[in-house]
Amino acid sequence: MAEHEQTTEQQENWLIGVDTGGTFTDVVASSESGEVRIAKVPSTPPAFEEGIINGLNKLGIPPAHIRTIHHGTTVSTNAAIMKTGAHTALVTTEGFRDVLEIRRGNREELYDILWDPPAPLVRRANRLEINERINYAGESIHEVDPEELDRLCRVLEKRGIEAVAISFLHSYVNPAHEAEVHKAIADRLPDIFVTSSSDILPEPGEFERTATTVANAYLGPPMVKYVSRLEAALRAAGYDADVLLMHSGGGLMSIDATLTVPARTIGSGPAGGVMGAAAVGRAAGRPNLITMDMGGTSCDVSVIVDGHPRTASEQSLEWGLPIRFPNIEVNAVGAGGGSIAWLDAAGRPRVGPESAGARPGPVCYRRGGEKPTVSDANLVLNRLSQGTALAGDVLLDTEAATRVMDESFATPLGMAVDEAAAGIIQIVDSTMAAAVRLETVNRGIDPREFTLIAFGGAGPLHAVGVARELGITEVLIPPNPGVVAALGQQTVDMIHDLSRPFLLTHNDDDRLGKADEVFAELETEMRGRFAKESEDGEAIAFTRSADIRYKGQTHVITVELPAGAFDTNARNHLIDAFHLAHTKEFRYSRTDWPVEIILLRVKGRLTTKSIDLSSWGYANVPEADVTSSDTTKSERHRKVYYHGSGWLESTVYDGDALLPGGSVEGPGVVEYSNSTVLLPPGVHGSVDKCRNIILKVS
Amino acid sequence: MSEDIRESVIDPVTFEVLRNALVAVVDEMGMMLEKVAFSTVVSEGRDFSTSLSDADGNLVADGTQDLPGHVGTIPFTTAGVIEHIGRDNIRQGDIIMMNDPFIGGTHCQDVRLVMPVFWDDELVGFVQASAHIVDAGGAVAGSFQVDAASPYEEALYIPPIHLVRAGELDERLLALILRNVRISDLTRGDITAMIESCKTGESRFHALCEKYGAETIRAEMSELLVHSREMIASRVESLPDGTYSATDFIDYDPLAEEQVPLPITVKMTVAGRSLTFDFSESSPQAKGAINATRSLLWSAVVIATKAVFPEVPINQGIFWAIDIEAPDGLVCTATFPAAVGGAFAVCCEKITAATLACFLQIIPERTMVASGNLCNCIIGGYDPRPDFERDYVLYNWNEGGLGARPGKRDNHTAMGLFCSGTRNQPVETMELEYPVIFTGYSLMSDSAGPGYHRGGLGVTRNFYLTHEGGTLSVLGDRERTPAWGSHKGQDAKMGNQLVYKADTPEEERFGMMRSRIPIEAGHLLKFWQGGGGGYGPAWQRPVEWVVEDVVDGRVSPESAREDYFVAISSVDEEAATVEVDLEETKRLRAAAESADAQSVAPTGADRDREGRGGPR
Repeated sequence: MAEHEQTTEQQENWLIGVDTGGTFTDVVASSESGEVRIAKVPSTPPAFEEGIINGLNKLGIPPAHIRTIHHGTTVSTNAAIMKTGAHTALVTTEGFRDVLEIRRGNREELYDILWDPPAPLVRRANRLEINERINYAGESIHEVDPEELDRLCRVLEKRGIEAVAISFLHSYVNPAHEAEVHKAIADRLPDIFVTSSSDILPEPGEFERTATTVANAYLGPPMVKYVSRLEAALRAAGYDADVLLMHSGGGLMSIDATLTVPARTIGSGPAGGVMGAAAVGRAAGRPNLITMDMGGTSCDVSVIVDGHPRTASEQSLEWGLPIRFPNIEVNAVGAGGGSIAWLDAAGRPRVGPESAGARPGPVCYRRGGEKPTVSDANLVLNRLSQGTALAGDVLLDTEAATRVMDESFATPLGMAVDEAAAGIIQIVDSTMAAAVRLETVNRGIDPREFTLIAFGGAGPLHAVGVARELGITEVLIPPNPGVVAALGQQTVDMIHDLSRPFLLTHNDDDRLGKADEVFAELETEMRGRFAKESEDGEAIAFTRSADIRYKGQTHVITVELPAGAFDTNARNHLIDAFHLAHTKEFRYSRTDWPVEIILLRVKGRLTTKSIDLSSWGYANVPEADVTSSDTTKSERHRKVYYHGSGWLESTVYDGDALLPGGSVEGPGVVEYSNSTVLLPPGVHGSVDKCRNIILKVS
Repeated sequence: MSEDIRESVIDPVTFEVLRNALVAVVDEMGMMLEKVAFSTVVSEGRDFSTSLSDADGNLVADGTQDLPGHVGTIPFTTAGVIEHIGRDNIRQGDIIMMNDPFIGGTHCQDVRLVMPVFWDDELVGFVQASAHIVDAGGAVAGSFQVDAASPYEEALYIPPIHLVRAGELDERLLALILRNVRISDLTRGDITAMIESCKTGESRFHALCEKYGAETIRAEMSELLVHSREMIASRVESLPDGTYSATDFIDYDPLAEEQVPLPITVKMTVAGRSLTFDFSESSPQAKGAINATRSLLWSAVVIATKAVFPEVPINQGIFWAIDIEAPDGLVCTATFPAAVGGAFAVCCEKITAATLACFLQIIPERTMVASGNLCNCIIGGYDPRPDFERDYVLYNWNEGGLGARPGKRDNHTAMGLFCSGTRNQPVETMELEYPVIFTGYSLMSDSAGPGYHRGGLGVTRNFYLTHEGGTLSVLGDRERTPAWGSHKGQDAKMGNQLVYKADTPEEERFGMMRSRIPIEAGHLLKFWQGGGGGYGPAWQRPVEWVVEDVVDGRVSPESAREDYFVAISSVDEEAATVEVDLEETKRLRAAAESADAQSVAPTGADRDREGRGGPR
């Protein structure tokens, strides 16, 4: 990105972070002089770009002053879940077109006879085969027949196919056949979006690679359309900013790069939340965090160690649809404000996994919801106030929530309605705590050494309850907890990831040099990618890592390499680090067992401008038009129900008015424009210099 | 009489919180085992289970993604361990190992590690990890030897024995076991993984005792069992009283003089809140390795019952809610020295299918007709490829078509119920690990049972060895008795088969019960796992559903006409479009309808004893 030296007070440059979710579009703007502005507007699906323009216009910033927009989007996630992607074909090795449908053969619900897997993104008729074959060593044992390509192109054209995924066996060692077919289609049918598995994911495992490639093709045309609509809408509104898109790996990429790997934008919203939380934590001197981003249908949990979010090699959009790109590891638990409380056949209380979502939503939304939910329970206990903007500008219906809670839940249990509602919260808190435990205790991390950072609409309400379940003693609530994902867009760098399979046993000195060459090749390839999207190509920071396992194991651990050439020292260091990591995660290691490296990875990072976190707490919200006419702001006290203590007179704090050095004390609630913090008795907290609330939980 | 939760010691909220916490303990064990396991059978295939029991050995919780087939055997394993080792000899830090099918095991490849959990010097429960090791010794690689006449030929038997005593691993015992099995380095890794999984379970169990107190945990465990028992009983109460029976058939006994089908007959009696399964009319114990022991009979019945009532948390309470009547010495209650390698693939599959066939008669919307049958196809040998040069045991197992469901349009293709958490092994991984090339892995057209509701399609894997020296064993079933249909739905059109030198004049069909066949390099093997049965008359199936199946190649135009009475007049393969002759279709369907009306067989009871199963 070009520097703009002519900056003056009149011409101040702004950086924008935009996060479009299914319900709201959040916009965060930061200026070079440290001013921050926030806008929250309703999303406008399917034309998400309109919501973005609405949000930008709310900021009151002259369009010419906006230089760069960082954008996290739900467009690809939505298209994949709603099955509104392109009319897609899959081309496979002959005999293997059903890999996409057979998947790994297992079932999500082991016993439920009525369970069905989601339909594959490409129907069987459009899964086409080519008689070609490459073996495990990369040798071609059957060449592609040009005549078959003629027929293939004819078929694609006749059927009006918009996108094609090509996935051949062992293409990760030899991509020649995929490239040949790719070229034939691209030459003859230039309007079709074509993607090859060896280009986007050169790793073994035919189902996961094919599924990722298919998702990439399926999302290509909708992302092409979305991006061009967005660019047109920005131009029409007078904006001439560079747009970079956020990917699930917690980095930014150019629009051109996005259109090569559109599936990498899946999960970019939740990743933005984690990146934002990590930045808040670093600024607050708390580099070790467990994040809890709770919304209407689910709660996203992730772990940040030493300021860096933990990453995973695969995410799953829904059961049976793996997307295998390096990503910020976010574990979605089916526990949200809309989770439904019910009684099983023996009259025992259960909560979720069924959710009322936003439609019909909880009973209190008055949109036809008839089953008690977690949000209803919070309202019955007066933790949420009627004026909370959960459902837009609707005033929440406490009476209906109480009645339904009583009739369908409390009375059959023989419990008082408030007692039963508190029980629902306890159950859902314990479910979230179990998920956190699985991600921490079971992977060698003691959650008690971590700070729990809670955000999203519902996270702060449940944070202390979950912390207590886990023995966590500190909870951090950032200012503007409802827009942390958009903040995250302001804190990320441009990042690309490349990998290549490479088998290297622990004592093989002869091939070390070859491995070093592969690393260098990946870095060269990556320089080329960055050169296309930035003028600062020289400033790229590379990180090398490798996937390692005990010889014979399937699961791998990704371990980072020390800087410098890959020589025996680096190799030995790597293997030592592997044993350590194995002990940490799996309780044991065996230094006498042979170890093998199977995959080499390179991450390239190009630092971009980011927000000054000390100004984050002083954001201006130009027009908070999403918040309903809020009567609670003037209220200083109200009665709130706490598990174990019952109804207590509680202090109501205005979160947006808390200043550094201030303090809060339970029993009480802190109300932000889009979120509420519950402070049970015994909890006290202080406000730090960034206006984070730091709660001490006993 | 329904459970009065107000009399419980534990309040309802704590009850639910702890229920989730106990399942989480087991899931943490499973996650650990999967990630550190060495063999692809465990790590990729997920052929394992983890569980938690109370101090009496009652099953309290199992993992949400673990092998269902193990579940019902866990209480027998724990009981066997307590009985053989003696309660007084089980101490903190011990881990007891076993695989004996006659002491609560399944088949010998399933090795169990049972670890007691103590709190304040008192036994509070057990955790258990169970995994299928690639080889348990015996005459054939993988230990699936269908013509074994006794356990002595099949595998190494391990009665309950201390593998770890007070935290100290018995290296000599481990060495003895590893000396007796093939590919022992993988098994060493897998057993290490199981040990660590048990330790994880113990420490998480301890954490719960610390937080809630051992008394609360004990009370919770006991109430959980009552809870599941009551849930099943209240569901049973809503079913019509009566006795419902069904028979499914094992193809034959590979060592018998005469190859006749062996019946698995179940009479299910619903009386008020009680549910009884009587297997006494089933075939006597077989000579070949297709028998199951009593623990697996329970497992299969529990799987079917849980499948009909999936909302009931699985634990000992389900066992308490049902009774099984079956004398010793049946094919499903085999006694020592019967051979049991095919316990799952042969016996368990039939027990589950026959039990579901009983439920099908009274609660059809919650059940399904017969499914494709899992088959173990294993090749052992030496891999001479440069950089490999080692022994190998190659496991092949396939998904099959699941049976049609009255409650849903069709059914899909997946692992069967007893192993619905297991995964296939990627072709690319197999080719990297073994001297083999696959030429196809696909759904088989026309393999399912036609019906108003179609069964899931079967699957074929086609492959050849690239080097000489491989020896094959196959142990499965439903070659001669494909998955049955019901209510005028048809049987699956294809059963299981293993075809050697396929598509050549020397083509040979191995069937499903063979051992130690030498395989020459370069000759194609086709390994079919069949489709699921159909439900309801196929002539009633909407024409557009049939057309969709023809476009997608799931049903051929010929089958559309012969089985579904839909006349396809033209197919444009390039455009993927199909035209239907509506007049002809009308005629065909009218004829089918009148033929149907004249058929005397009452719906769903048209089964006989000529090797065909189903409700009767």
